[in-house]
Amino acid sequence: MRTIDLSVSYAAAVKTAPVERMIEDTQISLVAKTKWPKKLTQPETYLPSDELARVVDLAIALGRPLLLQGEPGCGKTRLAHSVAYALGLPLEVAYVKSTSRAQDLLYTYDAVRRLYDSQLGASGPTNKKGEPIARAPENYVELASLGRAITRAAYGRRSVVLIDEIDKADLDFPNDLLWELDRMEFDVPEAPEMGQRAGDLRPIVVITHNEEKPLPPAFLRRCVYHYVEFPETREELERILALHGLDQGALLKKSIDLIRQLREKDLNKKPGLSELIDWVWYEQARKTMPGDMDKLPNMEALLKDRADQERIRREMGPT
Amino acid sequence: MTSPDGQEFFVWTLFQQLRRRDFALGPAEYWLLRKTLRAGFGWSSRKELREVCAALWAKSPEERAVVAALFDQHMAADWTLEQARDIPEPKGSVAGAGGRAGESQPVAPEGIEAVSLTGQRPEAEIAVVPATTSTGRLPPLGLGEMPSMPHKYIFLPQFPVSFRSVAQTWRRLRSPVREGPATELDVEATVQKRSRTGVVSAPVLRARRRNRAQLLLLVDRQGSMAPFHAYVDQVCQTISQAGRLRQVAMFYFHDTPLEGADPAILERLTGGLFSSLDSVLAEIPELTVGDLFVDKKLTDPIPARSVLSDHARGAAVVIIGDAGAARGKYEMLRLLDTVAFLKGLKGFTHRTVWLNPLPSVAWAKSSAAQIARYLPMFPMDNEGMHRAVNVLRGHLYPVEKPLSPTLHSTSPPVG
Repeated sequence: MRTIDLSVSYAAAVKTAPVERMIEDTQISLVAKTKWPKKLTQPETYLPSDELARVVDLAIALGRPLLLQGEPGCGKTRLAHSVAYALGLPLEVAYVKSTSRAQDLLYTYDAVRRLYDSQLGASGPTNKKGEPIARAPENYVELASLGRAITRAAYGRRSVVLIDEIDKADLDFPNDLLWELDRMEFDVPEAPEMGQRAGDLRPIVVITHNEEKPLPPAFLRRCVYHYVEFPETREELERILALHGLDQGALLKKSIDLIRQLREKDLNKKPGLSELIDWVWYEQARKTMPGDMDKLPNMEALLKDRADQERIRREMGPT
Repeated sequence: MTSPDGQEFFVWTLFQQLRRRDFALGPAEYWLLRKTLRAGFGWSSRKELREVCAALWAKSPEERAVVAALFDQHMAADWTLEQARDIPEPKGSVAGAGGRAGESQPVAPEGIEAVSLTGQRPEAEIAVVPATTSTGRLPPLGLGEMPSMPHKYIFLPQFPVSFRSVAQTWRRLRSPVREGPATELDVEATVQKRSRTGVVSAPVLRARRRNRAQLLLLVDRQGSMAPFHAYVDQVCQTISQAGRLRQVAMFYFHDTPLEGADPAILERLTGGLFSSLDSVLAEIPELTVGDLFVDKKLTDPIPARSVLSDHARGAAVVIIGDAGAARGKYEMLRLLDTVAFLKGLKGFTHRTVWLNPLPSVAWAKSSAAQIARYLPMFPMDNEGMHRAVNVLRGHLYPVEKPLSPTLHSTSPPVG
């Protein structure tokens, strides 16, 4: 029975995060037991809603993966970055592809290279003692994101794992991860001593999902679920935009008006937060007058569907 | 799950209601919520408690809406921890209720009375139970304060099959062939090559296996099929998205795939109004001319011959339609057209099945029962589709009157 983990709180940490901080470097395949390398990390510009911050804390407390769903461009992926930075933890990212297998998240074993090296015998690559490295299989095992996070946890350090767009993979991919995500342990059959098991300190797992394929019920059961909504209130939108350095009051007001108008229409693809930020950012840099925003200049940054663009051109009459 | 004063804990009721709505919830999920509440989540406001329930029990936007709506039925009053703090301790008339709330946890079920909680937030325990008669220190509730429900009705599609089972069933339709660039290590060939030459040589690569199975879906639209549109669309979409077939072609028709078989042949039938076509079966000419439709609204016709020669040759063909079963119709002319088309189809492929959105009990006395005598017809549920794929994979499925295969697809049709 796992205990409730209330040792860290994202909701509290995100409000007091420093301007920059040293966080363990994750670009190294070997996880150091001691004296791990650090690197200076910049904060993630991200303002979670109160509910989202609470749900993150809930997932951490229960030690379960947080499954995020929502429209594209509403900041699902960015949340993981924000959690990692706010809590000062290293972030391991696994971008899921259609060919991804569950094992790829844990480790890869390069059998072909080992075969080559062993063919070369004594003239092949050697370690410091002069022994051919081909003798030890662990030289050919490379830990991947989740594998590194579990190893780090076994050494007593926490990390954040982002499994991005899990629905892109095969139908059975989430099922193949059940054991690892549940128990936070994995085996390496090729090199048994490399298997690791996390203790009470579990990695924080954030999974994003774009609704391309429904996930298996057994997998869903184990997750904490949250649907990331487009900010409801004007104040929330203003705060988010201000956080991204968009501070021209009148321009901001006007563009928020416009985006809310646009989102009320039944468009094929509603403009999301990231589109809005891009658009306002560009218009602010070009010093567009607030009055000119009505014409929706450069609306190509907002609307990504041809039928939508034509409809808005007709209805709202931008040039 | 009742409190000492006989009130059911509303979270338990909510849990049961969700279970009745086919939510994948078990004791573990209920226990998880209680564990969460015990840890101190969900006590600061009604909204937060609702959020916690949704985060743990809902797994899609639709399910979230259901959880939220049911939650609102149970807990209509909007409260926050701050509000509850501001309410003075009730005295006099409600002293009994207030006293009970003070001495123990009157409404929390066993387990909720966690020690840590009682120490930290005594108010919260009372705040969670505005549904009870005990008013405790709850804010007074006026009708105007009732929050409006976000949804009046919530409709969740509940199809007989799920996305996953459809995908899994149709993935069994495979004809793997190695093709494309050589990217995969061929261990066997590599070992052989090395042992033959005796020197270190480059590993042998081979192409990956790919599925070459082709599928042609012919879908009946409109009329009696209208009630099944959403379901059929969902299944077809799943097959083409997740079936992992090389090609899934979809075309539409209305009532019968093609029309125009010569009705003169029916005159020779004996046996009254509902006779079968058996006596003239051999003479029914093949029918492959006419139009199918590219779009679901049946406005964009395409010559059937080009569809068949492009997509049906050697492919698996699935016809989806009610075959008159939805209305219990038995029309000789339609039956004739359908049989003529099926005969024409034989010139292109032998692998043809019919999927009927109606269960097999509904086929009797309609033309569906007759068509099922000529080719394998299955109901469009999990088991039916599983068996349909078996037939398409080459399993034997004897039908009463198999249509004689006449392989002369290149010659012009007689019909």
